[in-house]
Amino acid sequence: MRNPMVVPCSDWEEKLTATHPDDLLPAEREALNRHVVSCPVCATVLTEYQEMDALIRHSLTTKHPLMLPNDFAIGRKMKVETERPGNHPMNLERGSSLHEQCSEGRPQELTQSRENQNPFEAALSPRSIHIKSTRSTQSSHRRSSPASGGDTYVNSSHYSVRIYAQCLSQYTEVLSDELLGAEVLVEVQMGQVLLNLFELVIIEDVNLRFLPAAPMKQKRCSIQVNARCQSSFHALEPQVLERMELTVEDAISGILLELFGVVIVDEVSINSLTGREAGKNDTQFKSA
Amino acid sequence: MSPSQDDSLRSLLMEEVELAKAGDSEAFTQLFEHYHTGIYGYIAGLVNNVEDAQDLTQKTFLKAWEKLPDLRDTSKFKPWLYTIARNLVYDHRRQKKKIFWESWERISGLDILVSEFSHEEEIAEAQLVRLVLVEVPVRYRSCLLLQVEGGFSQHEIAELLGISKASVSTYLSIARARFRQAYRRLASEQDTTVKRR
Repeated sequence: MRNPMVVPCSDWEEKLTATHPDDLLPAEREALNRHVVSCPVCATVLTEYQEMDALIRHSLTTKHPLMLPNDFAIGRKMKVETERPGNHPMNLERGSSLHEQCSEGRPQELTQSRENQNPFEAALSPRSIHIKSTRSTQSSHRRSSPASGGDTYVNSSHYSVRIYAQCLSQYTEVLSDELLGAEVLVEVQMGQVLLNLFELVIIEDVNLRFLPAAPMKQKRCSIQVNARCQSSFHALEPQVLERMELTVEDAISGILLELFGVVIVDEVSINSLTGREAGKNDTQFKSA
Repeated sequence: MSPSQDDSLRSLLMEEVELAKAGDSEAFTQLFEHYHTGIYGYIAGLVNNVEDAQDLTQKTFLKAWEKLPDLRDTSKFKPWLYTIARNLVYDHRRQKKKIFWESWERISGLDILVSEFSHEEEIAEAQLVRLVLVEVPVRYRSCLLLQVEGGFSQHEIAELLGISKASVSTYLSIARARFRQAYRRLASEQDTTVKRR
């Protein structure tokens, strides 16, 4: 295409751009082909067009492989679930991963997908954006609907989970106007962690707040998570609960470390619910 | 590809669209694999920035996944996908108007692809083509990109852009003429620069 430019015959100029088989009728195509054979100028132009197409295709190719986010499928299912009356996007149940529940497609563990993804990008995926649009704009969310698929257990026991942590970072991944996305990320991942320990889980509240600035311009924020859980065992031994607390502490530290620089987990408590509280919890799970 | 192969691919893709519409994420991943190169090329030719093009390509597919249940005629998936891409590009242009127009400047355009290509000649050629495309007005360029990257017929482009087939034909003719002119001029400028060095 670096040779001196030639101008195609005006009658055929537009027809020469008809590169798609459907652009011309068979008779028109035949006539064009006949003309190109007899006209070296139009033949040159046609060759240049083919060269042009190849150049454009080659130049507009990315050398970096493009991929969909691993958890892309979550967004639509969450939307469907949220829009269905009585359902909640955090309907989690033991035995099926969030991805399985949400995509009905290839099973992928959420925890695995997070490994390959910037945690904050994940938090700002359409899933989170959608939740943002359907939830209160406040940074704490009261869960009004229960979060289990329905079954409860005859010999079950009930627990409340409370987590309180503080984070400190000069270069935090989370900006103040992106708290909601971070909350959703914490919520989803904590849901998964607790489902490894309990049969049914309701994440009641995730509250992420920036605190007044710390010395050295560091950002401080507090994270509070409240959940209610049900175990299929009659009662969990105190030692077991202690081990569970340590597991949750490790997990929340890992989740928050992806978002913040320094994490101090002040409190992880898993308390057995008895009497009225347990009854209330049971009713909530049963009504799901 | 023979016509029969073409038909079987088309029906296979239609099947994938139906499955994806019903919520099959694996089918949608297959659709992504099939269409993302063309969508990326189309977007990259309009925004002229690799990172934005990658970002908008991903957004196109995420939006498509989200909106797919609303698509009534699944045979129109491909033009529908390109419409999403085009709208996202327009939104992107509106949001980043200043940056967008700055990005058309030659110097920034020259920097764009350095990281994308490995060989010097390849880099030079890709940059040249990018610069040439910049000189083709968006209205004409859009038709050209839909034809080259999207593989659409003129009739399909007309439907997609909401203009007549005759206009598409004229726009394509102008786009190609502008491209040829700009390519020659910029290539000769590039050659002169190289000789001076």
